Amino acid sequence: MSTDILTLKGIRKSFFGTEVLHGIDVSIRKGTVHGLVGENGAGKSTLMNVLGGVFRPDEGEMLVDGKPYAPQSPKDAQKAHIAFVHQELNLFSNLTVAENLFIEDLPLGAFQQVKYKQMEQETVRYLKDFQIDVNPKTKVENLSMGVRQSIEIAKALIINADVVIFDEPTTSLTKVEKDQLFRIIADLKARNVTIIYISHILEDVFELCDDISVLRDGSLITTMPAGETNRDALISLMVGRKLENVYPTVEKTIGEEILCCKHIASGSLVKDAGLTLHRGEILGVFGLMGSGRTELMRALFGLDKISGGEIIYKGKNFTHHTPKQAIEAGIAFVTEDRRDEGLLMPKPVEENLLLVHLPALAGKTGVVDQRKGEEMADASIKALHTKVQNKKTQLVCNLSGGNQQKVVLGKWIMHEPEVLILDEPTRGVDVGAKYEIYTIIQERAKEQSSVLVVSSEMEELMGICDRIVVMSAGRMAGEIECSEFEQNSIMEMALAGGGKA
Amino acid sequence: MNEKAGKGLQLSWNHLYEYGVFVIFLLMIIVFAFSNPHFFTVKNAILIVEQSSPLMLGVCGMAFVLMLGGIDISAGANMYLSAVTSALVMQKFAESNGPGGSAVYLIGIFTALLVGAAIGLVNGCFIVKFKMVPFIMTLAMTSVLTGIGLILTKAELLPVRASGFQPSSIRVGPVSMVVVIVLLFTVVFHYLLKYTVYGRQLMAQGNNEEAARKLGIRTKRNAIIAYVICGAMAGFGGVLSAGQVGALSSNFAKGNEFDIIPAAVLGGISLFGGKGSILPGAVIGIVLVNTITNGLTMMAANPYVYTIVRGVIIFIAVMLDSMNYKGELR
Repeated sequence: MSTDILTLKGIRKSFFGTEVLHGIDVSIRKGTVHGLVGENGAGKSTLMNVLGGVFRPDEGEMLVDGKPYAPQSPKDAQKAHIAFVHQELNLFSNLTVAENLFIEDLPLGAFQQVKYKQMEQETVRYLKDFQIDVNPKTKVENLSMGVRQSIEIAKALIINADVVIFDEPTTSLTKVEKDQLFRIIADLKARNVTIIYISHILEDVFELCDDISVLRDGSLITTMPAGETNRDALISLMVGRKLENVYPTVEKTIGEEILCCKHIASGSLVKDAGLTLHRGEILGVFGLMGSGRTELMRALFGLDKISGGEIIYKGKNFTHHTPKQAIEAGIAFVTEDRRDEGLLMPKPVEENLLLVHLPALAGKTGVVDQRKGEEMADASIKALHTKVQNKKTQLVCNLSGGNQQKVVLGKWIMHEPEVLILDEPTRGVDVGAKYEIYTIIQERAKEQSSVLVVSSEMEELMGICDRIVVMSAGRMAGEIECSEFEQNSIMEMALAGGGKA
Repeated sequence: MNEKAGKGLQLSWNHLYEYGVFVIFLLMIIVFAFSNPHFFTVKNAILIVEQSSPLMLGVCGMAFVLMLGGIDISAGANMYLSAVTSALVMQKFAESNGPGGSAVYLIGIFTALLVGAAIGLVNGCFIVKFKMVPFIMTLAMTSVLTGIGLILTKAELLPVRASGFQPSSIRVGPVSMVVVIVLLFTVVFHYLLKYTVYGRQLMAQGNNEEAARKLGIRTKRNAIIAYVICGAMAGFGGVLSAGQVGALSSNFAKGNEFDIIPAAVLGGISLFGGKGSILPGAVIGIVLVNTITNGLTMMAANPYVYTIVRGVIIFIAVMLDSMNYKGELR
């Protein structure tokens, strides 16, 4: 009875020379709910995008109902009755609900006109199945995020799907909307539709799924019936790496408190967050995607407005500041997105390096001291072992990820910041360069700078931090000292607030 | 706590945005009516409608491009060159066949449509295929078109009426042929935008191009067609306007894009794409722009004041549009 509807064999996929899927073999039984779990960056979304026709695999083959399946586009996936509910919304906010549902295949009359009446009636009838009660003439921009999500799901299912992929469907849903979604999933299952469910919220995975597959670092670790495992075992499988000796250690002392923030609220993601940072300390901030970790850093640096709470910096209130004031006060921020936010990609290395320091180099006259700038750029390149042939002509976009990151770091360190905020400092950086970046971080701390490191790689934080705070759903979920670092308990904390109401 | 107050404020901004144009329109009419007894007359109203008509075609075409989030600055220069080419072709035709007859009209309008569409096609292809910024692409086009027009006319006055092309002299009731044609086209384009697959998909891609592409909507093709429509309508408007004026100077239609675009935007078509419709907004927009020009003329205002007023209209149009833009979650 339980034949496999989907079989993936040896799926490999690389992006820009880095392999992110190392030959995945997995089979999915017809009419089951199949959970897919793993840390951020484990390759879940990539794998599903391959299945959904968004990416083409470099190697491997797929079978749907025993027949070969090689989608060239999302359209092909739809033709094979595979529906994909994306994490982000793909609705047109300026159009009505009915138009959104039918935009690909609008019902037409004799004069090529859209038959609005018929379309709207069909919309009402169709949405009734999903217990969505909206006026089909309502523009999507006037609906709540939850209703939009439900409509997105309804839209994906309009193709009479045999397989439905849900990629983190509950992130923007309220409790009620989530229950509704689970009812829809149960209903689909009753109709022998197969469901692949990706989520960070393990409670949901256990509640919904028949089978669970665990991905880690682009490899499939195991597939097992949900009944044969439990939460703790699953977490171990998800993180289960041994800590290797890839982290430098430096003798240093931790001094007095330099930065302290309490009850910070900012935007929609940071609700009540606080932390304390000491001189010479490396403090890790861990949290899953959407936990508000990056947003907290942006608020600390003055990029996002703070709507509640206070920041005490060097004993003084420093709550409502601009990024410029933060820089002048000795705070530096290396963003997670170095391509768009950290570097001027089509500009040479030197120009990038001197960017922050420019006002200081110019002094009172406003004219930049070229020679001093060159000296400082040279010093930075040497200190950070940045591999640059010619700092004046080599463009940053032609450097490797690791060297790019060193340019970003060099740019800020030149300013000798007292607090260095690093968001995902080693993303897209190879192992060797990682070690060097860790060394740079440690050396800053040795010189009594304080470092805040945000990372989704838990292992990395455990390797370099003195202390780790964990964020979940915009709040602090816990704090662990270096001596008590343990992966499972950190993951527990991060997942704790995951099932937000 | 503060949510309610915020909402109330937002509502009033929305109201201002939605009805602001009508309020401005009414105020203007009142001011002009009091300052000149000849302003508030049927005769003057018809004059304003006549003057607005050729530009209305431009607004219709521009609506498609704006719906994409694009822009066509070359509309005015397109009007000029299309009118010049068309006038020259008509001149040749009249020389060999004698002036007058419906053939002149057909040939004249057909030429203008063709030239305009060709210009639009070039704009569209460069913008879509080479990902050029629409503003700069069409700005460059403006310069090229004006130059070609000046070479063709040797910068001399080019007569249009001599070849028998006088569309404004054909009357249909109280108005001319031009107004009727333009009304007809306005309705057709409104229908095309609002009730056909092409129009709906164009609005969808103007809102979220990435999502539209994921659904298999042919976004590139649609965009090029929008620029072609925009170009063709500018050309058509150009030749009709030439018929009204009677002769083409080197200043003909110069800067008309800055009447067309603000008129569309005042009428509720957003520069950010995906919003608005031709009826009734855009029609009111263009009539409003012409009413102001007309009223100022009647007040015997300093002609340089027009330039200032035009600037202020653009400013108000874009400000209202930007204030209303909520930066949708994509």
